Amino acid sequence: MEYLVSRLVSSFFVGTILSQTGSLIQFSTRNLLASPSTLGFDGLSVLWILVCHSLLIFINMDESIGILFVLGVPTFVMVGIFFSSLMIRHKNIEKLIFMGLTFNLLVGAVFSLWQFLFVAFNLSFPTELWFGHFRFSDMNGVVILMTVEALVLAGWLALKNDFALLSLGDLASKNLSLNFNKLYSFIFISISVGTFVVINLFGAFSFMGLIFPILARKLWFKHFDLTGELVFGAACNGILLMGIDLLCYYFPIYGAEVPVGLIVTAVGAVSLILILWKSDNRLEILANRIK
Amino acid sequence: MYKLKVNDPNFLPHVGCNVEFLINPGELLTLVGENGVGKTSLIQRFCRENTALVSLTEQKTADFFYDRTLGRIKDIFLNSNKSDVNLKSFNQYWNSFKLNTKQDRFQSSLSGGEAQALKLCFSLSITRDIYVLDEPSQYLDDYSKMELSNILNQLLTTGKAIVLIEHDTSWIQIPMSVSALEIKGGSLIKGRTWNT
Repeated sequence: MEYLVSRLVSSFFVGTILSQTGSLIQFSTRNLLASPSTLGFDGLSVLWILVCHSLLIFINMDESIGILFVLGVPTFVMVGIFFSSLMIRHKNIEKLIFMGLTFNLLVGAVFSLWQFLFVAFNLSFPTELWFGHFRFSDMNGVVILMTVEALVLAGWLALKNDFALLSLGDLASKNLSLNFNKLYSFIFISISVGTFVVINLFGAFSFMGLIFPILARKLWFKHFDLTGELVFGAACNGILLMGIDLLCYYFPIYGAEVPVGLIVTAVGAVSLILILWKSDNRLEILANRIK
Repeated sequence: MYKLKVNDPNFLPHVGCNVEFLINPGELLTLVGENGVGKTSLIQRFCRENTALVSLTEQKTADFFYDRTLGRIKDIFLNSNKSDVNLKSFNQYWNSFKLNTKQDRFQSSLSGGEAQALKLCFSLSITRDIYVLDEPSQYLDDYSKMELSNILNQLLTTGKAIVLIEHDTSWIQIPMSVSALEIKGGSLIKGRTWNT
């Protein structure tokens, strides 16, 4: 029973965090195609975990989530700060999306090659890192996820006015001397660390950070602006992921449980193709054309 | 007297890398020059380096993420808790451009002129010493241009300085002489002065 509770709570918070990170990134870049997956945060987290995993094996240390966290959180805080400065200086988000997608492809290739070598040398390899699942959920993971969630919500509440101002467009926020450094640092540190924590604990859920915010916005939450998206919309998406995971848990295929990450990645990828297909021109995929 | 300057060797070689000009409180200065000569780039650079002094009305239309009604946008702007926002001026400009009659209209449904008026309300109601307007009359109808002219006049009489990039100055009805700086041949030159 405790296992099931920790699993349900974990899937709920993972869905919520993925939705929130996606919303923050789409809001700050004003682009519907921006997400932790398309900007390469997923790939970077997977690559980082692979490198650490390999190093731990080569120095004959037991794999420990604790070590990965102690090293990973500061690293991804730095990644967030770097990305926020990149956004403030360049703001060419379309170029960054193409680079992020290409980087993800590269990491996919590296992942396969790495897996091949590890299997050849009969070493343990985190095969399921690429498609997340909640089979190994425990209360430690729940506590970590709840901490991340609490920090995201606390930061958002503290910067609520700045968010409101930024939502009016660059002009008003620039003229009122909005502190872009502070706001963008919070946004990209949340995205970077949130994505890393989820992938480190449960593996990658690609494209969820892209589709969940769009789902939240398509519902009536858009009338609450970012409040609705980050709180109510994210909670709904958490429940949705929890529901999909429950289906995977209760309906195994020939005794084997399908990783929920596999399902949501497939659905997310098809949804992304549909979004792009339905866009008649370049502008329609930008958020400022939502009507 | 305010001095606006750019001293950056990497900045726009066709304008010049060491540019400065002076402007007095209550003075209206226009910046003129051929298309593509670098007026907007120059003025944006000035504004970026003097945010505490300058309020800029950019040429491009403001981008937005959430499609909201004008009433909601007004609430968010006025509740931003920024001491720089002049509520009285904002309400006055809002009414002058007749945006108060369109409170229920969504941002995506605004015409070019209405979006321009919204932009002007945002930038002119922020308390600053210098207002920089980059082609503020674009898309505006004659009535709105007249209102804009009145607002600029009002700002000048309260001692504010205005820098204007505008090709057509016929709509400016201000009882004072207007001087122009022209970008030509890679440098700023003092242009003509005329009475409106």
